[in-house]
Amino acid sequence: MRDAYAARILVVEDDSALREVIVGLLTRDGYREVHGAGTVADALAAIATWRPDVMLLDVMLPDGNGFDLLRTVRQTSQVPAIFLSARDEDEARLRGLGLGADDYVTKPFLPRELLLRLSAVLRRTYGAGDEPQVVHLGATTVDLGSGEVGRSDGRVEPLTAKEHAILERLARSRGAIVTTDELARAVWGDDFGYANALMVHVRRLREKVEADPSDPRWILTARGLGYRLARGDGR
Amino acid sequence: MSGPVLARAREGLRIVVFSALFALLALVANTLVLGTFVIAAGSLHDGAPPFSSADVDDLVGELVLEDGAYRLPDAAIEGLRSRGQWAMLIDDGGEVVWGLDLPPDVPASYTMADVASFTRWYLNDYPVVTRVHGDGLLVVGSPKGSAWKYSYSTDMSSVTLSLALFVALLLANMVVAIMVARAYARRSWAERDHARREWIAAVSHDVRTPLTVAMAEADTLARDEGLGLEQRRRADHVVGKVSEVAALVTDLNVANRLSYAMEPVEAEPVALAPIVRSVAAEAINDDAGDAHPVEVELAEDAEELRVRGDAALFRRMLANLVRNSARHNPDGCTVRISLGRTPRRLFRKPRCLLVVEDDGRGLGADMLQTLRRAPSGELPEHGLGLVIVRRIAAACGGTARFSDAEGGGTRCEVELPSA
Repeated sequence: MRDAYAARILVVEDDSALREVIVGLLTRDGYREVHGAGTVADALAAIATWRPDVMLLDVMLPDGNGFDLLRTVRQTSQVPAIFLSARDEDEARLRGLGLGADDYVTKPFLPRELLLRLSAVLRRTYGAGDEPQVVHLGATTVDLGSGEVGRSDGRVEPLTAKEHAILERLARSRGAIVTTDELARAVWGDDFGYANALMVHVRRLREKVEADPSDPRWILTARGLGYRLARGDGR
Repeated sequence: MSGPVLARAREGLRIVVFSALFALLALVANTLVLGTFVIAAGSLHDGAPPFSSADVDDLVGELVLEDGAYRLPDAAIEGLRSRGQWAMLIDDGGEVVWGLDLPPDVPASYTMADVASFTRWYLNDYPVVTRVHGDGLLVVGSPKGSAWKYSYSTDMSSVTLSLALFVALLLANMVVAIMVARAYARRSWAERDHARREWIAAVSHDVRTPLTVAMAEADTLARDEGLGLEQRRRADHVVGKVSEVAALVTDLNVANRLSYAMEPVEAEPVALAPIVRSVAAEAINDDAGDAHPVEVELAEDAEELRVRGDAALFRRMLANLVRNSARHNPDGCTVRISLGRTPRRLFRKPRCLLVVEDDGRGLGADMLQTLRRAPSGELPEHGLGLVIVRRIAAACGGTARFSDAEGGGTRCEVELPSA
């Protein structure tokens, strides 16, 4: 799937007002195939005939619950699911069940939060979406597809795998602070004991993308917290 | 208004008093019933056989010597026979001089030793009652196995001792009664707590669904380019307020979980430094106007600090503290979070020390007073978020102390035992 907006999305939510709001905001965001279901039975019927690419699942449903629904679906299909829950306890329950849900959102949520998570799940599962393939850092451009840095003086320098992972993670949350723990998770898959290694990789990355690595303009340090990739407007 | 703790204490006292009274009454009633029965049924020592209306004493007067032979009125004979009893008169020489329905295995003469023996015990297994008659000894026998007859004597000190036994039994009864009543009450408390907890959880669940609709609709309006700036600003205001209600619902839920500690706090070693970084980064990222900068100061060994508890609860605790500073200082303030160890003290293991401080206008004396009071079962009408901070700290074996910061803002010191 190259076009994330072509993904078939099944929204399973028993509250009709909320279901309409979610379907509406997904449609407005550009998703063309959005379908709603209010019960486990409706959802199973839709899954069997319509084969959604991703599901948004409410936990409490009139004729069952989302956990059991996902367990049933998982016997035959690996379709990704994002849970929408109204109970704090559900997260612990979900972890305990080991259902391998792809994400979890607690109600109430902001529309953009849901959209972000949805596109992240689509990207992870199908490699589709709006991944910033090219990151512009002033006169320097970084092509995340090829992993190459194009400097203003015409020089082209390749990024190492770790530098690439760091920059990709920062670019995904551009403008926001990404903690060292999150970066380590993105690079090493683990978040403990990589603080020094991370610092070394960031320094090398700066040498490649910054005009003056000792006074960085793009990869900024948030003291004691992590790093932030400045937006195009320099913020 | 009395808190649940006080109510429980009162109910507990009621249970103890009730149980004590119940045990006392039960013991007295039991003793009375047994005593009455024993007295009514017959003497332990001697006298009428159990459940017999025959008055042996009357027989003594009724048995008279007439014309060289002993005679008993027909009515008395009828009475004896109806109970299957027999009777005889032994003269001073030990010879049986009169007998009624004597069984064949009853001898016809007795020595003094025989008499002494059957007076106390049995005559050839017949339970017998003896009375002194003018001409000798009147013996009335009942069928074998019809009466229990042993003479009983005891030391005077045993009588005193049995009084002590009575008191001991009373105490034992009380203890049993209290245990039973307590177990019953515990179950009903647990049921009530469970019902209340489930109810709060259900209400917050039901509140959150419409909140989601409100938040999504307001947010859509706030981002609608077709609307005027003023309308969009107002819609954004609604989003902010809905978020506040949502946070309140979450706080209520956490308080609910902590106060009726139905599920124990998940106790696994949790690293605090990543939580501090994550909460601070989130606060900065969400801080639209950059009015509330967050500074983080980690001690050298902060990365190694682990505490036992639930990571989600620690995150909530810290987020509540940061959010409180921002909310109380809409004109802006700097929030400082520092993480380290408490100073080493004699006989005390150093604990994790988490300090959140701002340079804003402070909480005010009233709120500080509320936060300093010993934790009770009650929740305040305001400042739920900060009370929950203290509850979470307490649930993880630590403390949270609120005070005025040196520069005039708010300071909260959270101490948690190291894992």
